[in-house]
Amino acid sequence: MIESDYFEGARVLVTVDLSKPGWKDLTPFEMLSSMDVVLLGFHPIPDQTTPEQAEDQLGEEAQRRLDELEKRFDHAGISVVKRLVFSGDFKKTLDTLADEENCTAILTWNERMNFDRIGVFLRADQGRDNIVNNLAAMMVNQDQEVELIHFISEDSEIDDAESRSILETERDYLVDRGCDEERISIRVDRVSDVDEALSETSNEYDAIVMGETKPSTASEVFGTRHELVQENAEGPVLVVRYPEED
Amino acid sequence: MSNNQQDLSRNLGFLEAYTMGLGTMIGAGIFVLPSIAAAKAGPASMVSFVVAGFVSLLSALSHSELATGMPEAGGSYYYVYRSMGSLYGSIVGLGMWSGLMFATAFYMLGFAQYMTYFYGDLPIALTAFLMALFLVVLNYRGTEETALFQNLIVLLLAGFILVFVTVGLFNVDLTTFRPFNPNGWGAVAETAATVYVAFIGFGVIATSAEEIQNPGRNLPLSMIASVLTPTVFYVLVMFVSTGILPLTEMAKSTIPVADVAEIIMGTPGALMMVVGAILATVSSANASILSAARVNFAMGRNGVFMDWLNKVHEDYHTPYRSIVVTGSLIMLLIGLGVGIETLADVASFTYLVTYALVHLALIVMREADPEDYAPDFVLPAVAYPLVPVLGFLFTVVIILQMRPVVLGIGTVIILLGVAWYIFYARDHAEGEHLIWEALKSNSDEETS
Repeated sequence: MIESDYFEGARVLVTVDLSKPGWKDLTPFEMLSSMDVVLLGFHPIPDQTTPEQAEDQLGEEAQRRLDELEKRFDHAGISVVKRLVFSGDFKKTLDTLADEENCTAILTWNERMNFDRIGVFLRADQGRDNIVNNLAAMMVNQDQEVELIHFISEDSEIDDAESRSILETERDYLVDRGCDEERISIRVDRVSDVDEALSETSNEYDAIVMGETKPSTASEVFGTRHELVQENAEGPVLVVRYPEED
Repeated sequence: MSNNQQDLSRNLGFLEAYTMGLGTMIGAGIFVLPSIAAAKAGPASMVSFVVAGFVSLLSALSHSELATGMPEAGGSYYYVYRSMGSLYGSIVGLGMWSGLMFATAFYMLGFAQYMTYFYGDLPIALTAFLMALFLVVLNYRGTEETALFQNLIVLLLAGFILVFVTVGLFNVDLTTFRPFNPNGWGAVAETAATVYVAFIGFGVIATSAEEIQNPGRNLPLSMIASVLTPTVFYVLVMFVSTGILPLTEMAKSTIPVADVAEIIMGTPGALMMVVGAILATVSSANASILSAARVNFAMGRNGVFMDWLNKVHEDYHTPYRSIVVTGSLIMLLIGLGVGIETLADVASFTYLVTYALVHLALIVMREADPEDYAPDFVLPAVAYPLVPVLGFLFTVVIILQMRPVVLGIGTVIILLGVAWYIFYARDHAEGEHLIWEALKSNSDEETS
């Protein structure tokens, strides 16, 4: 059995929208116990209201809710760092805080919170170490089912066998780190539109794990794949951050 | 304590701050003002834009130092309140608030005028009123994450104006410029005051001083750039407009840039400028309603105004009371039938008074030199006290050129501020301010 400190450095920013009534039903899940957790209580505000104004009037109640969630984590044996933010820009807040707190992954804590079957989106052209490491950290000593998924665009040069072998390498890596081989499956689909496939598939699983897209001008304007999934998925989404270039 | 709002780090570089400033500057003014300006001062009104731009530039410099020294919500209002106390705070706060109302009513009438391009018999006041009502409802319910949308609008407007100016420059007929200055330099100065309404937006950069990286450099640079760029745009638009459309036609046009575009680019050009004008007037009006709520909040925070106004809505989380009061007064101004030129003039007046007092605020801060005032950007020795003194004088001179009716309404607004101070703010506001220290430190120097 592998000790959890094997995965030192896995630090996840767990976000919860405190303005929605669903916060009451959230309970911490054991999977996070092997990771450092920064609990971000996020309260969206409209353009019309300044963060200070919102904090003046809504801060007390939001803080109370966040404290209660912290207690639930405490009961589950997970100690967290708390942050409370009022902002109109969820994406910017996530980026800024994940940087400040040195988080390697961001988990949007949705009302539907179930990790029995996890879908993992992987790409061929992307460093996968971070994703798989975080995944392994979450799964250690747990018994979920995991499907490693690779969508290949129809006009891509990569063939199915090549893609399958990439996924098998990652599966072996997880098995080496103590995950049960029988619970890890592989899925390779050839699709016409990868973005569409991602958002459609995201609800076939209880939870989604995926990597952050490398930031670019296009993604600044049109949004990124992980934002697409964050918006569409009804369950939790763990986005593993793009490694910082030093 | 890590659990705090304020430590969200700085993430606006020069380009972001500049774009944000441009967003507030390239707005309704340039689409609506050309005919009003041309009617007042003829082709020489392009000089009015240069003067208004220069006055704004001085103001931007004083703002830059104060903003990096006091990065607080409320901007201009806060600098004046902090340095000169709640009497001047009341005057400036009430002035900015009503200035934003007059400006919004001005934008809405401009909007309605351009809508007549599609349907000539459209009742102007009613259309303006309904659009204002729509914007109030929109703001009451709250809007989210419009940054991308706003950037697109700015880009589009800048593009439209560039096309207009570029095509226009090849079509300018120099004989149209005669007489260049039909009504004399007094009219040019008065027009500078009227068109100042097109420049009131630059203060927005100052209010986000906290979010700007390396503010000592980026804040003044982005403020200067976002004053200079639109000044050049405006002057060129005026040059092209008065160089193409004869003065008599120009003066009576309610859709000036579209009429000019019709001549040089035909109907597609006119349509482009109409669409631009509609986008610009609506987004400027919306930004003003937002700013009004910000001013209310800053005033409520110091006890200068009722905090009651700043309560946020339970479901929408918007400062709905402030929005409703501001919106009702805007609709009242439209309903009363105040003329479009007077609306622009009064908005300019209140902002000129505000920015004049900001120059004084800078002098007070420098003289009082409180311990917590350590601006990242300090006006260099050659510019202080030259900039605030010159800025103040210029502003006052321009104000004095305005029409009696404008001076009358403006004075009433100032007196309302004074009355507000006597009957409310004096008893509620936090007392601390620095003007006495500034005077004291000076007299100490004289006696020693």
